[in-house]
Amino acid sequence: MIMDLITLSVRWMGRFPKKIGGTFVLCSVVPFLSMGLSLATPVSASASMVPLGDSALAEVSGTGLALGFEDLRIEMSPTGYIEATGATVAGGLPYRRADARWYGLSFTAASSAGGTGYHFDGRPCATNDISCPISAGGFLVPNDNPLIVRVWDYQGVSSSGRQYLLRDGTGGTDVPTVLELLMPDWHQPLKAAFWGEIAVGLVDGIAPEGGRTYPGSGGTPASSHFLQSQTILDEVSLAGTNVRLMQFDQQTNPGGNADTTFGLSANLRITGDMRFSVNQTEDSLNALGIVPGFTDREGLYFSGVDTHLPLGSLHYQALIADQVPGGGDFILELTQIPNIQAIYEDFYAFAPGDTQGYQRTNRPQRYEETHGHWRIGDMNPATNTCTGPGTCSGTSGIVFRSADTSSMFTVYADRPSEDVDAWEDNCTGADSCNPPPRVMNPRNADTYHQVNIGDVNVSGLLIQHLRITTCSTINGAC
Amino acid sequence: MRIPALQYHVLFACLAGSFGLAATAASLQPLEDAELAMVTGQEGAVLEISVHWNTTADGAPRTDIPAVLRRFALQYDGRPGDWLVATDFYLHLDIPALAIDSGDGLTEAEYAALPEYGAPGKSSLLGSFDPYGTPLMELRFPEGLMIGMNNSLAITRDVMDGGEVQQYGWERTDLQPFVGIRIGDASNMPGQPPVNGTGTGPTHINLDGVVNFFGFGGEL
Repeated sequence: MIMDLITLSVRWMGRFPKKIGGTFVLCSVVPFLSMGLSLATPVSASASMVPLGDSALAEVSGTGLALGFEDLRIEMSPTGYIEATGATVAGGLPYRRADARWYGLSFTAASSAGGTGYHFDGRPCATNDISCPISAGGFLVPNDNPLIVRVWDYQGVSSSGRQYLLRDGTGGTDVPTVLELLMPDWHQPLKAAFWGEIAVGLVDGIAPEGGRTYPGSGGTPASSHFLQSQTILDEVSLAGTNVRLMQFDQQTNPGGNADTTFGLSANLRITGDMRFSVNQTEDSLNALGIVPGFTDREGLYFSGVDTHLPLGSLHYQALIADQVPGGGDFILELTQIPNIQAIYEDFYAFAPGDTQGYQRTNRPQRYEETHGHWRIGDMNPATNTCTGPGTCSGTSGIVFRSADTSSMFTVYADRPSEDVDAWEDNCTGADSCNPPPRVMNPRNADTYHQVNIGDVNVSGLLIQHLRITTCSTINGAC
Repeated sequence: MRIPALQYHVLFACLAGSFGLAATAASLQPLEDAELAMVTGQEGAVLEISVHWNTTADGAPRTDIPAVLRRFALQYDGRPGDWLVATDFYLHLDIPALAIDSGDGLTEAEYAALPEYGAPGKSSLLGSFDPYGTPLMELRFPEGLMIGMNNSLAITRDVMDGGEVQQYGWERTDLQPFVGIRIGDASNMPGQPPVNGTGTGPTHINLDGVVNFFGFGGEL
């Protein structure tokens, strides 16, 4: 029996400043406790609540709960962290302990909202753009596009015209009820930021070695190396993202007995810009657990990110978890698509008449629901210009920047020739097939402070089956 | 099944007028109809919420509790004998002030007047429900919250012999966690002045703005 392990205290206080016309006034007294806990002294009240009658209650259909936000701003202390602590690695395994922390997680207004901002170490930002991790303002999620939590039975035909299929390929009505979190169709863009530490090989983890410096940077060195970084996501939208929890029938034989477990499906959609940087100011201490000062410009930039990652499909594919027998390892699995025509035709969602998936026109809307994509940039070569040293002005896509415009680095490439004809001409026999001549990037000079390496376009991302097994605690588990 | 029973204390205080008239209750009491009838509407309230699960009042882990009891375990339906166990578990949550008020949401015209409003049009998920000017609950966290958490996760199985459970998975002492999750603050070590980098105590989170909370119905 456990005694006194949880202390739960609830205080209900009667004064609350109510915002009226932009000023705060004190409201009437509420010296009672509801919530079914207990009742203190009842008092008279000024503005009485009108009781709900049966007819009024009958109009409440309870379709869902909705959350709208006005000027929402979430900011963790810059020394506060979420940590993934490493485990002791069994002997004989080729791994080392790793620890990671994400500090100062914040969700504030996007740069486009204007206003001021500041860095994790408290310095005010010169400008509130993607160089600035924390905005002083919040963002709006309007009540007409709220975040929704509800339970729902997805059965029959979807709004896009496809039939929901069970794992046996039928469109039965006895479907699992889903608890789902639906992000808004639109919300004001936001900025998300954190700074992080990744340490590999620390003897006891980050906390016991807090304050110790990176080897070679002075002070008392940590027992192993670590990397501090800053990640800023700007102009972010999560519109269209949803997460669903359900009971999932994972039977591998469609005609077999039910084998249910906890299942999850998600459609993750995120758009915006990202900056990942590591360069610190000269007076930054560069020690474990001490807030660094990051410079304004250096970093790897992803401009114009558009990501859609579908994980699971109602009701025939879901993300489930399992254990590895005999130890503490575990399995994460996006279950395999059943080999049933109705299901794989729905899953592949080819254009009418197409049997190979090559036809890129006239695809049904369902294709974009089951197939993900990952794009960076606007797919326009004109915005990836890099005409000469120091003049890579294009900002779309993937861009590297130095700490400032006077800090140059070398753009360098040493790669095999792309001249296939030269390769074949050179290859006159099995023993004389020499490697093709190498190509040196002609702009091999330290005269660049910014380089744009182009855009990314990954389309048609389809996951038929994904299984991840951890191998850290049992020798031979994998 | 030997599941540790969890007991908790409920402490509350009420303020009447400008006087701190504290009332305490040692046990939970059901509300009678007559008492419920006296519950009338108010214009606002403030809740102070504290959850100290295996922690002291300032957020330090309660190491005086046996390690096998500082656990939180889950077993999913369809997984007999398997457990997801959070070892060395503690959770510390202090919300000094959760301000609850009722009000009406912004009208469509008021939204249109906001420069940050993108005029997205009503979400189809709301069906025929009218979200403009609707009654709702307003939540604020004027003092933010303090939170600390720790656990090491392991997946394990009951020890069986002859079809009988000899030891439940959650109480095994040979667990090998594969990862640990912690929420803390590098500058906060409970019971000490601010520290530089070694802290593991709870951290503070600012929660600015207003949360509009409402239910919706209507035909889809």
